[in-house]
Amino acid sequence: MNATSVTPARTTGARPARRRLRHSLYVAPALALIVLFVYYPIVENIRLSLYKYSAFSPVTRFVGLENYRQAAQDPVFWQALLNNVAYAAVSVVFQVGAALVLAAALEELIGRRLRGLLRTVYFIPAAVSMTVTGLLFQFLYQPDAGLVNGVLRAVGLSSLEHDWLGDPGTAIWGVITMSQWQSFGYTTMLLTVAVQRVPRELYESAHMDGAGRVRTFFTITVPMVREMTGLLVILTVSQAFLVFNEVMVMTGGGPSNSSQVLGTWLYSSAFTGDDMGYASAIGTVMFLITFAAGALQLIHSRRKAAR
Amino acid sequence: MRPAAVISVCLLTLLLTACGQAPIRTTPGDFTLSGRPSGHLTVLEKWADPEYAPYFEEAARAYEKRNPDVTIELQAVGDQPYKDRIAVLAAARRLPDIYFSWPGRYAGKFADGKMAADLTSQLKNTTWGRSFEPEALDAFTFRGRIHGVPLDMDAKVLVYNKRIFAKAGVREPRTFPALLTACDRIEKAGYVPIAFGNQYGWPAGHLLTQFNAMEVPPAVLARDYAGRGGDGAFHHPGYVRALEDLRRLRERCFAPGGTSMSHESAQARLLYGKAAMQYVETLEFSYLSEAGGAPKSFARDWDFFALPAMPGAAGSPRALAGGTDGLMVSGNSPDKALAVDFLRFLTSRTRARALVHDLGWLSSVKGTADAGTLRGLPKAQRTIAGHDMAVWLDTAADDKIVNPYLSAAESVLSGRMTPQRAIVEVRRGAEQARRFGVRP
Repeated sequence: MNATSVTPARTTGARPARRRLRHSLYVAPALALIVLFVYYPIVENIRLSLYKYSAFSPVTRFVGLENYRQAAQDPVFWQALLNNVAYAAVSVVFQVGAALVLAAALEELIGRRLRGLLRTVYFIPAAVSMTVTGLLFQFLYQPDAGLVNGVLRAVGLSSLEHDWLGDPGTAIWGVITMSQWQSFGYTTMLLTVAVQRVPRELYESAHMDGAGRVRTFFTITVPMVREMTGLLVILTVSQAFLVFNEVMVMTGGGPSNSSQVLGTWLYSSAFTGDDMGYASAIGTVMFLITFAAGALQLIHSRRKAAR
Repeated sequence: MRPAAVISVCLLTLLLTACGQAPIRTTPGDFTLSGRPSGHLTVLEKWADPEYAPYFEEAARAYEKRNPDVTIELQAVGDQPYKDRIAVLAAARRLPDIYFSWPGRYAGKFADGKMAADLTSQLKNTTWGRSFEPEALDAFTFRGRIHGVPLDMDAKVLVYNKRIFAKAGVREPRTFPALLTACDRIEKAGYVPIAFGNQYGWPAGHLLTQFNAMEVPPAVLARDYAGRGGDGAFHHPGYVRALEDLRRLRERCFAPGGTSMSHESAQARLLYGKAAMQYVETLEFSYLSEAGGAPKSFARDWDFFALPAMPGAAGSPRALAGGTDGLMVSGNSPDKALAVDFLRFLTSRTRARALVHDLGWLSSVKGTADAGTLRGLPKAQRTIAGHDMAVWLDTAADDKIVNPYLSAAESVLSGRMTPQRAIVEVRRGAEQARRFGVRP
């Protein structure tokens, strides 16, 4: 075998290796950043949750799972978790279910010109800062001069007037309502795009077969936009468990911790209670919940796609 | 801040802790300046409000002008951001040379963690130390050692609209039952007796600070607040009576809806003649003046009195909720002598008088109240001098007790819990704090 016949073989063997190396180099910076800023903090957070320590003391104490036991015995933790679950449930109903109905209605029932205007109107709240929205709704909920009680008085329902954010029974619902108002238009926009991508022929043949609008919605629209609704369920559930600003601005978790969510309780435990290890444990629980919600939804979507 | 960010901050804290500095032992020699002052000082405080910040910036510039070889890096943030930032810096052992502190346990944490320089040699039985009101220095004294320099004095009093009091035929009440009777009369006259906004919980905490101090013996209170009460913590009957006092105020003096209203919104009711009284900090007096935005009708016609005690209470009948804010020198500061020199300048009689004049605050430096032009300041000074200062519950008590206590107070205020049930919740919180305590 002469040299000329060997060289090409060497070249073809080396090229993929070099290409792989080059590709790895391209990916390396992003990978390093993800490891440093995403995975390392997660692992460190889990490690920290096994310690008791104060920001003001150099002493740290390994306590094993005691922070998790503390959470299990902490009524505020359970109240916060329950509030997050309520937040997630209401958000899925409104920001996925009701938003899909609205998106379909906008496409089916509303004229093109009005449709554009309505989409903009629905989207505007999503463009307003959360702090501004929180303060705005604080005014709306004010017991004596607020719009909500004013409207109730005006329509003769004075008996329903309430200190919406001041009553432990209604405070979290006041925050959840505000959140739906703000995010509803955004998810409607996303779902409108998904509905527009459904082939028109499917609707036409359904109409020819005598299917009404409701039937068409459930048999064509819902299955055809499943990918988008799946994604939105993951996003809304994750966001519901990571909620923080809304509660902090409107109620600060009160009254009597009734509107605490895991995020605000973590913050309060860390910076007011100076119990950093416990705060890390709450953070780990939040991570596990959102991770599980995302994983379950992904597995479910893949199974459906495979079928 | 989003939770992910909070978690990251916590993690960053740990990372920084790992490479942080070990505390340095303070010796009196650390405070001796060698030659002319020179160097760089970092200062972190919480007076970011546009009304207050210029005073501190001007003071720093004045010191720099007097000492051309010194530069001061002054950072001011709001109340809550300050708590967040100082916690992160403390955990990282990267405290600025000079930093703000509330009195009581809050300052004690820095002293216990050896993060605050021991200033006893500079302040005990020295000319500088004697220039301060004694109770102001006491607020930063832990186990006999002084760890902070007091700057201002603050107390909570009941400010009232004299015109409404006259219309309702009410005079300044001398006892707590007389206050409740006054509330009834004011309500009959068509006004809200006491404007109260408790959106963020601390106004109820301030009321409880005073009620607890009036109803519970000081030694018991100090022991329980510090988390040293053991199984008997918060069992003194005075705690229930304090919560009952709070409930009585709600029933007879507050308007409905105070739980979700901010303190500032409630204050508007006082300023615009809808409410007769409000429980106000003396630091807030500037807001009650025309220059501070109050209408002329109110700004010229108000007075105040200390919240009166229930006769026969077991605590101090002359308790007054309040505190003194101060500044501490980092135990790790490489230039403690320069830091102390700047603090001497900041609390000199001239600067203290400027603080009273420019900000309308009471200074912790003796004999400065007459420098102010604000209505009520000299009387406030006399009131503080004639009472026993009860440091704010949220800075005096152990961190883990504060949340259950404020939460229980909110439940009493909203009528969802009796005082007896509320104190059980507080005991449970104290027990949890003991069982899962942070400190070894």
